[in-house]
Amino acid sequence: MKSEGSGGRQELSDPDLLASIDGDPDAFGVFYERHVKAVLGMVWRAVRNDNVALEVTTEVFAKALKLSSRPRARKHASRKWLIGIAIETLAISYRTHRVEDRVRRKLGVPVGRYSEEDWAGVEERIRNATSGPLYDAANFGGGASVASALRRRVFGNAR
Amino acid sequence: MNLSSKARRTLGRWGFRVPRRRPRSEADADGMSYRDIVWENAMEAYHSSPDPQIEVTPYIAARLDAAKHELLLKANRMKRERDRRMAERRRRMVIVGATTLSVLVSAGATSAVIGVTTGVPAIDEILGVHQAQDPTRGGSIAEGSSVDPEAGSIYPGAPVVDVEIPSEDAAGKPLTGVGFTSLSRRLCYALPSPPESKIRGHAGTLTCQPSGFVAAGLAKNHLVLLGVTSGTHFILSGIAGEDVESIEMRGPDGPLRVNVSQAWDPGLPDLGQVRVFVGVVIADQAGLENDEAATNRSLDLRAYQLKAHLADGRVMTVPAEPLTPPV
Repeated sequence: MKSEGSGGRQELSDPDLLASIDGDPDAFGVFYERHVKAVLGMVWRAVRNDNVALEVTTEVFAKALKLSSRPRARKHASRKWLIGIAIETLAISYRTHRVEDRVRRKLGVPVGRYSEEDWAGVEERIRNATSGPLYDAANFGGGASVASALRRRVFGNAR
Repeated sequence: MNLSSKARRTLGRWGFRVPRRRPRSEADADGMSYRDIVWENAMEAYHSSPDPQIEVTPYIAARLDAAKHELLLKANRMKRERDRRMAERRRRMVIVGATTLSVLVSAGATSAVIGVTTGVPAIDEILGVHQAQDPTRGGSIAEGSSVDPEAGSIYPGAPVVDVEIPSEDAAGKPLTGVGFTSLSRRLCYALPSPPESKIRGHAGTLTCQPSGFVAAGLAKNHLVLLGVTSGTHFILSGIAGEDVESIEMRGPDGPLRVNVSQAWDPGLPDLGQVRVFVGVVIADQAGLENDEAATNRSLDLRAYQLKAHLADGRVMTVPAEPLTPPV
């Protein structure tokens, strides 16, 4: 993929890039270029399927675009913020038995370029996960006990 | 405290410190919700690990490019929608802030001295009556009216233009209105009422509009109908562009006489040379009894046609609806 945008945009931090979308929508392209491979890589490592990984990644950036007008999202915009969205997207997909596409549909971005077989394999992986992003996805929204467990797992004894 | 999101936002805007709401079911023992962990802190572990590597095949690259293209299209569309909403909000603020004045002033009110005389006694009377209603000049304004104290005064040095009112019942005495720029830099015109209306207590009509509002109307239709005042005579008045040579108004009883002033430059931003136009419909000709008309019953404008004859030979049909700023 070609990198685009002025040098000035490339220098901006993630929160500044999201904040500048109001006046310069193409700044989102720089944000996308900067993180898309990392997000795709993380999702792909979890799902091991190109089509599903691409669908989830696009949904993640669609959510990021939708959230970009919110001050809190701008403050926390970063790669880990995107990965948090990716895990949430996987979790919702797991609960609804299809790749989450709500935000893309709302924004008018094409969806659904994966097969049932693609998703069935991913769902199986999520179900059997014992750690990592898929484990988080499988347990997302499980309530206080899961939250505490996740927190202990993520931060260990250091926190 | 169990407040709705809207109430929280409102209180926040007013400067209250509203504690952040946490879903009870998701808050853990330390008071941090599961969502907080995922969104703000839990990714530390992933962040600290090296970027996972993926082989970007041409297929994947093409789909990522396509997704980027779609998202940027949407981002640009969102910006345009946001800009449009902002512009609309600003426009409404300007219009609400500006004086939109179309008043019938009472002939019985005390006359007052105005800073600049128009040279037309009838107009001076209208302006003077208007100023007499201004509390800052010792007059009084009816409760609920929002009258700009400066709307009734002519901007010093700004040119004015005369417009003859086509009144057939003026007892042979020509009635002349005047277009001018007010002290508050708005495009105004004052029209004395025909004698019959005056007897009923109407000295005339004073209308002021922001120049930008008039300019937008002219850009669309070459003329804007700004006022329809009732009485024994309905007076339809407005502003036409410089390129309008004549105006044709046709009602249920045939064509009406409409006078158009000379083009004049009011010296306002957004506007070049413009003209004032005035048409008169006598109430009984409009199918209404005079008493009925005098009680401000509205003229059924759907039965009227308004056409602007332009200098280049074109004829524009304009909706016979008074243009009023949205509030």
